[in-house]
Amino acid sequence: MGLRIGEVISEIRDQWMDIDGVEGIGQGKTDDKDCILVFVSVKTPEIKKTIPLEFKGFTVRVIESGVISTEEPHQK
Amino acid sequence: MEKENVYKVITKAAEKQQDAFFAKQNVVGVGTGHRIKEGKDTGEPCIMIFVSQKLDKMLLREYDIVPKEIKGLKTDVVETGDIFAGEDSAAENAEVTLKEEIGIEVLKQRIRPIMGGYSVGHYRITAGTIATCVYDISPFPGIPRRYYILSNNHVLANSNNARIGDPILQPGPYDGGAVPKDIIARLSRFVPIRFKTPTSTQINYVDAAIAEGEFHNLDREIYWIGYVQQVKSNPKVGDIVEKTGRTTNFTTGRIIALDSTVDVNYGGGRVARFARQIVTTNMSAGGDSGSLVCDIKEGAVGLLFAGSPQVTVLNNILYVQKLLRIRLHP
Repeated sequence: MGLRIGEVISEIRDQWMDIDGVEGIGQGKTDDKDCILVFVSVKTPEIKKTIPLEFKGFTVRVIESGVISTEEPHQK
Repeated sequence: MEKENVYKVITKAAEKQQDAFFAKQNVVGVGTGHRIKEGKDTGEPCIMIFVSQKLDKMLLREYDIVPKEIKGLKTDVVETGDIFAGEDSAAENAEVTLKEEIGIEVLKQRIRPIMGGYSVGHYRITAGTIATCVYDISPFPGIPRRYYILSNNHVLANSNNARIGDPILQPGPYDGGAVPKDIIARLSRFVPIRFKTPTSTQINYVDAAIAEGEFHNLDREIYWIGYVQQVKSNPKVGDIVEKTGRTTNFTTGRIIALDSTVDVNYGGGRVARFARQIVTTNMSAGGDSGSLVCDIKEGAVGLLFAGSPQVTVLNNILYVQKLLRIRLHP
């Protein structure tokens, strides 16, 4: 059996979070299979270059979430 | 097929499918065109779908996804933003303001006893939302000595810039709440937020705080949701969740990620990293911070505290209970 997704994500979490434009990393599903979700403010060329489509057997999905802020009235 | 015929076929198909397309989220137009690839016209005829915003499949419900092909005809999705008629922009704004005013008044008003979903805030902030009311984790079973309002640190404790005992207003200051007439509670405890510094990134788990009020003023029912029936320990990707909040009222969303690490902006250049978070499709806007997010059987899932136009982020409610030493249920 392969590695569990939690372990795989914890391997790369800090490194990927340091990439400019990466806002978050989490565990999701795609086609009913566990996958790595990467939330980005915008898909920059650097992100396209550094984040693979697959990592250790898990699909990596990059989602353009925008910048994440606290939900306070003055910010929107 | 000859090209001209293809256009006719496509136009007919597009017309036939028009209602189905417009029923999909964000679709603002349907037409006939050429597929565009990397900004260039490929010359390939297609059904062109205009959307206010292109979203990742993950953020859309299945029936909102535009299929790649319809009856053998290719489709292309083009992001155009919201399309407005060329009207006076002032009139446009006036309409937007009007819409806002119709939707919101209920949860921004003063209410006693207070309920989950209504406006609240530390006297120096704008406004957020009451999650629900809670009590100390011990003694249990026994006689609780204090009862509290639950919300975010950045709602009840001004993002660490507060003192224990500070007045908490209902409604929040932004909604007209003032000292002393609208004081509903006093800040009791908060989990400090550890912001990023140039040299270190500390991990946070919750943005949470409680403020003590008088029992007769605190109803733990949540407007439009009811009473929390349990604290859910194992939310799953795909679960449907709901919340009631000060700004967007009653909304629903779907969990798209668990165990997430997220960098959250607090304004003024402050950023804090949160781990073990739950991410849902967008179900909130500014002012909804503090809302309790439940599954559709009133199982508490998370404390809403952040979001973007596409997603909403929640603290796992189990961490909120543990770190504040409080109980939501029974």
